[in-house]
Amino acid sequence: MNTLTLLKKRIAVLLISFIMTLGALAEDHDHGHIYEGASAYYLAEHGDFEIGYEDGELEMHIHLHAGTIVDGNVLEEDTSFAPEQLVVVATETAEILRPDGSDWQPTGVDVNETLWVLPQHEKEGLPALGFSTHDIDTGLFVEDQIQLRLRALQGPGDFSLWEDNALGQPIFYISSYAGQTSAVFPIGLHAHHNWGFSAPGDYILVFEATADLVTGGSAEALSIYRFKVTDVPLRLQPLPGDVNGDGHVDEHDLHIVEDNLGETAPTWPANSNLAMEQTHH
Amino acid sequence: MVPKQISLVFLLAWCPALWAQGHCARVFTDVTFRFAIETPVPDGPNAPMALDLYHTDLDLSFRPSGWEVVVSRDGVVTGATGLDLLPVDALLVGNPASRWVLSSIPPTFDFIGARPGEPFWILPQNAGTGALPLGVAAERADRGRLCAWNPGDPRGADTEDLWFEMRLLQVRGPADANFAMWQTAGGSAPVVFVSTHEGGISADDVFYLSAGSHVHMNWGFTQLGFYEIDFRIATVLHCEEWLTADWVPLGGPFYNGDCQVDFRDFAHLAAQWLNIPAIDDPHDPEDNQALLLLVDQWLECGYPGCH
Repeated sequence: MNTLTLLKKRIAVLLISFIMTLGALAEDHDHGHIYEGASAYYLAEHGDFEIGYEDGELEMHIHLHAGTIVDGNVLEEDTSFAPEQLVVVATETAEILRPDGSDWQPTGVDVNETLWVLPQHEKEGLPALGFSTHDIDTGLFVEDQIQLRLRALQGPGDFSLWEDNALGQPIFYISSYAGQTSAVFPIGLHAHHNWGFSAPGDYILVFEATADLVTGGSAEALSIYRFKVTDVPLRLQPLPGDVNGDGHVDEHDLHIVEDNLGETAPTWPANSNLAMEQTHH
Repeated sequence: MVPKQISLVFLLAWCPALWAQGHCARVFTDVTFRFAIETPVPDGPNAPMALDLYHTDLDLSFRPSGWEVVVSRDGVVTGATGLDLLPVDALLVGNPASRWVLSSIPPTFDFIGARPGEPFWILPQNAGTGALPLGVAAERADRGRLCAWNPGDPRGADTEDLWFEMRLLQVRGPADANFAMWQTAGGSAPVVFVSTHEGGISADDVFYLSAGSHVHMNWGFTQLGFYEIDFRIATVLHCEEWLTADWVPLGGPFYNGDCQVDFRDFAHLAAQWLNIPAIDDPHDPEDNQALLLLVDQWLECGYPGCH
């Protein structure tokens, strides 16, 4: 067998391998990897809050694309998370000053006060959070639409969801400050919005998705979404000895240890509030 | 000559020790996108397809066969197959819903080049406005083939990543027309990527997109009519060690090194083989014909010029 024939055979083997690899990848395209951990921090790059419809039920999950930063690491492949598994982080990079104009009142902050925004365009160092009903077939729901309703909010401030038009004017869909708690989205949508928070801290948002079936009846789903809004760098792992969580191990931590030396069971502050309701500083 | 060339082919195919080390090379292609802004769309068998209303992306990727830049429109209904068109076959439409008229232009949007009281058109960043929502995507890019690099652009591209560069080369459109690309930014000032109103076409008229990403932006036009807009799409490709025919370490100037095994490489190989000046321009019809003949000879009887 001459050299040219051997070369042609080798090229054929490579082509066959390439085609088989393409087939294997296609099988995993729809959902990618399923996250099996307890909790993770979503720090940057593109992800989508997705609503799907499977086996007669609405379902909600978060889809992060390969390249997304989770827990400080780059995701190697697309990964789906149950909403409660993920904490979406808005660091100080998300800080803006609320613009002038009454259009911006639903953000819940005053003019030139700090507002934390995960923006509708990609911004380095922040999650680029989309919203998608892309995988739901048309013709199943009345008017091909889904209603998304904010059922509960626990956190130190207000939450708002809006889009900017081409000239930067906000179009609000949800605003806890303005009492605007529901919005309608079309089936087949994949869009990015601005996610606004009026104060730093931990937020829990409970969203309900509902849709009326053309065949009668309705479908619904309820999910918890977690956000961490921080004005200091996020520490992904606890610092041993940092009792007060300020990023330093110093005499303040030592005082806390001294004050609690000998205690054997945690005590709960008398004024704690565990109810799923909005709180403000 | 024949034994030497057979040895060359043998080494290329079977001797990994002599293959080039992997390296990164910048590759680019020029592409023209066509827009029809509130203008009757041409008809006829060779007319481009008008794209309006439905989510559409300019999709950038580099495949094993080379650049693949297409205009990709989603299926009209969910679950329906989308549509990929070569840019020459696609006409992106600005319908009346994309028209704006403002009594005064906000100062932060002066870059559009719009005039108070006069219409201008925007294909918007957000969907649901009744106008064509046009994005740019690099979701099909094979990340494993790309090299990380840092464009150093403060508009969101100043870190190491697998970047695609989309640089404005030329705008051909109605007289006195301006073209702009920008994103609105959640309460912050708009991020402007392209503005022909500000200083004409300059080195600042560029947009970067990382592999795997998909973004939408606003596309502004200040006159109705047809536009042809030329972009240079570039990325940095990792040349695999096995891509031997893009690197020949056996002397002579036929290292091409652009990560593509194509006629340019064969042109050098054939010239060395036949001891003739390099056939340098595969895009020249005569050179191209000569190369095709040499390839035919090589496959038929083992070496170029064999009959």
